Amino acid sequence: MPPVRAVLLAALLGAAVSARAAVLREATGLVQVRAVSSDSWRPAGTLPRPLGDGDGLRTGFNARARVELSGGSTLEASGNANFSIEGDGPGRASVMALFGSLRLTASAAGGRAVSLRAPTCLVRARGDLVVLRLTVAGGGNATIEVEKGLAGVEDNRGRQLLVGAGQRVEVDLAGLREPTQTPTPLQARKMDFVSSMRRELGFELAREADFSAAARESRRGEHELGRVLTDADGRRVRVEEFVVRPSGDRLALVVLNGRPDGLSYFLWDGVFDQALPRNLEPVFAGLAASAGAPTAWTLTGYTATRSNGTEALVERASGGHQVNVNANADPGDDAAEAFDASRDAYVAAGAVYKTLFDRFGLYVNGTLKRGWTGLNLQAYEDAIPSTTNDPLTGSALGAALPTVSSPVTPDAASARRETLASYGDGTSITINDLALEFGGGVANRGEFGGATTGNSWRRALLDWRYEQQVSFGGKTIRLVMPARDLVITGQMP
Amino acid sequence: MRFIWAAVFFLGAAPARALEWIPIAGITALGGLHSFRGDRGSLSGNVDAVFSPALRLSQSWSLLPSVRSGYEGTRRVADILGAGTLAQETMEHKAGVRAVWASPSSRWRLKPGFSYKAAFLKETRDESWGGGLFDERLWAVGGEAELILREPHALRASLDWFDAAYPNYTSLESQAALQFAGQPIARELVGDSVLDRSGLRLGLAWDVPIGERLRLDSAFSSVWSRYPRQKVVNDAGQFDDVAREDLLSAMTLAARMPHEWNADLSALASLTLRAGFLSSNQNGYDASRGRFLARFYDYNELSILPAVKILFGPTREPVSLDLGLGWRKRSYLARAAQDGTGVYGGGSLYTTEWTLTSTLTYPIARRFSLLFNVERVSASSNQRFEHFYRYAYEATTVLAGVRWAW
Repeated sequence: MPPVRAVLLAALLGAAVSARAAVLREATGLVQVRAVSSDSWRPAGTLPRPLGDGDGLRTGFNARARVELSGGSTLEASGNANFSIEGDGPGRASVMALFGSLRLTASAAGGRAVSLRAPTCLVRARGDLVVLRLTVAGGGNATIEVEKGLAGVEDNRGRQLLVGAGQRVEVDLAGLREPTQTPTPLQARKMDFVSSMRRELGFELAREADFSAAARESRRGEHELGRVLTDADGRRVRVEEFVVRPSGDRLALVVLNGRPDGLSYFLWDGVFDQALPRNLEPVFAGLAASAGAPTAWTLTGYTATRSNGTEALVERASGGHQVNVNANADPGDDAAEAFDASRDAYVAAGAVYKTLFDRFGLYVNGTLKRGWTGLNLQAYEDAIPSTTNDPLTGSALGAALPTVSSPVTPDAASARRETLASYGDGTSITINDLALEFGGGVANRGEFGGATTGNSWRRALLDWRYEQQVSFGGKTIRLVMPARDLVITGQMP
Repeated sequence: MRFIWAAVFFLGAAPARALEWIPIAGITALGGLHSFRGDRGSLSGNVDAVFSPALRLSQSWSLLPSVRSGYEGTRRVADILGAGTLAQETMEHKAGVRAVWASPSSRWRLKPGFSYKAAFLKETRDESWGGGLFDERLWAVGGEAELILREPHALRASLDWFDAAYPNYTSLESQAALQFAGQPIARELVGDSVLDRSGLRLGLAWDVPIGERLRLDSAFSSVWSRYPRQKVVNDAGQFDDVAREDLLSAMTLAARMPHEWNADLSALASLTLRAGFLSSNQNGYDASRGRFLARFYDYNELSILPAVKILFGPTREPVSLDLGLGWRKRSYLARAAQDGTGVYGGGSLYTTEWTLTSTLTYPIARRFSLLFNVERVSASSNQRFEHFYRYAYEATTVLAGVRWAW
């Protein structure tokens, strides 16, 4: 063999030996190796296993590995660590730490260079013996804790620091932080525990957010449905509105109010001449009036009750039939407009059919205050006011009904209208109609507009929250309800 | 209650030397103002305090009892603002215990636990503490399993049973049925405590690193609630003999990325996407119009929240500024939008919210920080009927105070 070839062969062999200087001595749990020439990770296999320059090693959860470097240095990797051998040969050992915790025991005696490289720093062993731990976390942030000896740490900006035994320093992309004392094992354990428990406490509090979201939706639904409102005095009032179907030809519209002092309600209970459809929308649409033609269903009687449980104002009517009020003999009841329920608007109409009742009575706590009778009335001017007999039952009254006058007094400053029915016997019934602000209180007249009577008044009320206060005998029945209920049932004069 | 006593005895029986406990605590006290559609509320405050004596029972077992109390006198933009009650006050007290099993040799962590919460709500000035209509009592019992994928990243799954009661909420209709018997004033099958519910909560959460700097947090949660006393409304406006059931779900995906300009200036940017769904078998009925409102509560919701946290000064005690801009759109699947008087239109109701939040945290001493917080929300909707609930508004909350953390 020519001497040159022999020299080259010896050099190659020597290089091969030096490239295999690092040795994986121990592996517990899942430990994998990726050869420099390979893209795949393979089990560490039989130990000891030589590791060459560029070879990578990683550990799984709770696993552990110990690598012997040349010159007597050792590297211990905890679970979830990932590193590679940059180079290991006489006089120099370098390891690239990518993630996890590595413990290095090394000697830099005799000019030997032993270093750990992290994404944010380079750690070099100094002196005869150094024991240090390098932990690389997300983002390449590194923590160096020196147990024995001295280590030099250099960040990516070239700033250098000597870290002694018992000291710890953190390094991130911004560079070196100030070194601090390394916590004792007891302190470290305590810190780990606090950190872990803080995390658990965070989870516990976050879990609550889902329950709160469900409760919030439930509460929001109640508000959106108008079940929780504020009345004219700014006090909380609960409202529920629904329809009851006592029989096929009967329909009851109920509005309940709940206040701390009890319940009050509006009940409009109508009886029709035939069974009503399941869908009540067309029935409600034609209750107030019907333009052009009579409705398919005729309201033959109703009872409208306003009560707080002890006091009650009740209207009763029977003998209902539809009449084109624009074609009867009374020009005084003509209606140029009819309420269009599909648009909540009064629209011009030729023929306007309204339901007129032959018998009507108004009762306060069961006592008749006024009423009328008639026979197939075509106009209410033809009705006969009741005096000595109950208009509904025909029974004789104990005393003749007192005369009544009912002036309507709109308030100039606020959206309030008072109707005072004064009776000849000294009694009275006061009805206050109030348009409410969203947050409670009565709307001011400027915002509401100037309407005080008729269709314009009724139409204006539809744009507002509404409260009706009915007072008699020193008692008041207060009802927060949709004004529309009164408009369509003919309860809003 | 027996469970609590058993836990107390268990702790008492544990060897004293094995017990190690560490307090975790924090208090945040803020004072400020809330304004809604130009109306300004009075000066009030919010306080939130948490205390937890964390106990290490053994190498594998830990116990985390916790109590948390909070008072909110100044409304936040995340509250139900549409009700328009400026003076709302809430108070919550919660106690819970979570046991944590985390063996060093296992990548699993198991965490059974239970909690009890009492929430008090005063929506108007005439309500008193303990008498609020929406006062709530909530029991929850369940557990979480966590699989450590790669420290500190994990996959968590949790399941809880809960029972929520509203002791002051009884339907007026059920009250009327008793009080005004003989009148057609209540429907058949009407229930009393119609908001009380019980059900299950399922949670899944996992986080993974993407590359060296990006972190992805994902979460899914679903709360199934059954209202045993609230019957489903049918198309005739009457009750069917079927209890209301809701499923409230949410999926969240958040990407977070840190950035450092220098040792004294860094930032954590995040982008959070959230999709929420509520599916309920309950319908609505507009009695004023005799109109049936099928699947009244069902909605989809999408939100996007880009945010950034900027840190100034030393890493250990930096001044931080949190900025967030949120957009959220809720689309009801079957609920029609209404005009100003309540006439139903053809389109489905939707709401849109823009939220701007900013918080400045300024450390003044060890464990103490000053906080300055400004929140603003602007909501709009195609719903014009606002007799009961505001769908379009602007609201602002300004708060300042201190935080102490142990």
